[in-house]
Amino acid sequence: MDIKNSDAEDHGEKVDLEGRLTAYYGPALPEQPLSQISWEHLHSQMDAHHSSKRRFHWRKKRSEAAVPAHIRETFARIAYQASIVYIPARMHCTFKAKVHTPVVHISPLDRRNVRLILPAMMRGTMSQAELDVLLATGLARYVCMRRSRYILMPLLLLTIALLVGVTIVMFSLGTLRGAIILIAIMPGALLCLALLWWSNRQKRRLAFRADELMVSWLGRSHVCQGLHAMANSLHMSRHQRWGEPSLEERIERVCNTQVRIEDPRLTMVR
Amino acid sequence: MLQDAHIEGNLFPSFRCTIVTEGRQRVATCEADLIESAAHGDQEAFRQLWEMHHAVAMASALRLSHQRALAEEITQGAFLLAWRGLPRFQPGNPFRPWLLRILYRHALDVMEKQRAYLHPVSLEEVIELEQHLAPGSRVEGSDLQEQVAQREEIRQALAQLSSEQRRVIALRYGADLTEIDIAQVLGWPIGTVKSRLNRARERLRVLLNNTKE
Repeated sequence: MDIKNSDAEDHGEKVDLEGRLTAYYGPALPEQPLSQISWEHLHSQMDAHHSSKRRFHWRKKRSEAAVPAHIRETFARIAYQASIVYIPARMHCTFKAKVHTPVVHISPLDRRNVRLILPAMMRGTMSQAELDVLLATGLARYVCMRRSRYILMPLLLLTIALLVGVTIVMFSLGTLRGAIILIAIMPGALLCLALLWWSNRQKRRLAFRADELMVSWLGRSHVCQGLHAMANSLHMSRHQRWGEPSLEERIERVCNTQVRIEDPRLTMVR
Repeated sequence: MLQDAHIEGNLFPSFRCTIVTEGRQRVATCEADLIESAAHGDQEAFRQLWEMHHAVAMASALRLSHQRALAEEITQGAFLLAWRGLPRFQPGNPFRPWLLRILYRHALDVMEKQRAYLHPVSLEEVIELEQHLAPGSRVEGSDLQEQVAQREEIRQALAQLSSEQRRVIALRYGADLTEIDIAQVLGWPIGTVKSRLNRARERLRVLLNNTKE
C-alpha cells in the first residue's frame, strides 16, 4: 500500500513537472505578423552584408551569383579527378541564354579563382550524367586551351588584322601607291581566310581533344551516357555553331556508335 | 492576398511554376523558384519568402522567448542567417522546416547570450500571452498573480540548469520537438539528447520540490 502510494506520488510529480513546463512555454501561438518596418530593418542588414562583401571584390560583376549546390558539387568532383586545385568559396557563375557549352575561366594570377559561364538551361533539372558531361566539357576545353598552340592562333590573327588595318589607313592617307596596296591587301585577305579556316579546324581538334580528356576523367561509358542524354534532351540547341563539332560527331568519336535521335530534321539516320 | 488574381502562362513540369498576377504585381507562387532566385541574390524573391513565413517564425520565437522585442530580434536574425545560408540550401526541400531549424538554434544562442532566463517574469508578459491565446478575454487578477508566481518558479529553476539542459528543455516543451528533431537542430547524438533531457527533468524535479519545502 505504502509502495503504491509512493509510486502514485512519483507519477503525480512527473505529471506535474510535464504540465508545469508545458504551461510555462504555453501552447503553440497563432501567427504573429510583423510590420513593414521589421522587413525594412532586415533588408538594410541584408544590404549591409552584401556591400561589405563587394568592398573586397570591387571587380565582381552584379550579374555573378552564388553557384547552385548541385553544380558546385559536380564541379568539385570533376576538378578532383582532373587534379585542378581551386577554392570553392571563390567560385562564381553567370547564366547566359546564348551560351550552349559551359565556359570555365580560371584566373592566371590566382588559379584558385574560378568563374563559370553556364548555359541558362543548367538552372533547371537534368540528369547527373548530362550535368557531368557539360561541366567536364567546359573544364577539359579550358585545360586544352592553356596549351601554347591555342594561344598563338588568336595572336597571329590579331597581328595580321593590325597590319592590314595599318595598310588601309596608309592607303587612305595617300602615302602608298594603289598597286602596291592591292598587292599588300589581297594576300593579306587570303591569308586571313586561310587562317580562319585553320582556326575552325583547331577549334574542332580542341573539342575532340577535350572529349578525350573528359573520357580519362569520367570514363567512356559515363561520357557516352551524358552525350546521349544531351542529344535526347529537349532543351539542347540543334543549331551547329562555327568551329563546334556536332553532338553526333562527338558521340560517334567517343562512343564509336551513331546517335539515335528521333528527329526527322536530322540527315543522319540510325 | 490572391483576390482579383488570374493565372497566366503555362504550367511547366518540374522546375517552373505558375505565375499569378495580382494587379501589377507578379507573384511567383512556386517556393522552389523563389528559393533559387533568392539564392542568386534576388532580394525581392527573399522578401516573398519573408511574407510567407515570418509570421510563423515570429510565433515560434515568441513562444520560446516570451518577450516580443526579443522574439522580433530572433526572427530577423534567423532570416538574415537564412539569407546567407541559401546558397547551401538543398533544392527540392521545403523552406519552412529549414528556416525553423535555423530559428531555434539562433533563438537559443541569443537567449543564452542575453541571459533571458535571468529576467523575472512580468505581469505584462503573462497578460500578453493570455491575449495571444484568447484575444479579447479578461483574466481575473488573482489568476494572473498565480500564473506569474508559477512561471517565476519555473524560470528560477531553469536558470539553475546548465546551458545544454536549458536548450533541450526549451526545444522539447517550447517547440514540441521530438528527441530526434532536437538532435538534428542541435547537431547532437540522439543518446546525448536523451540523457541531457532526463538529467534536466531530474534536476528540475529536485529544485521544484526544494522550493515547495
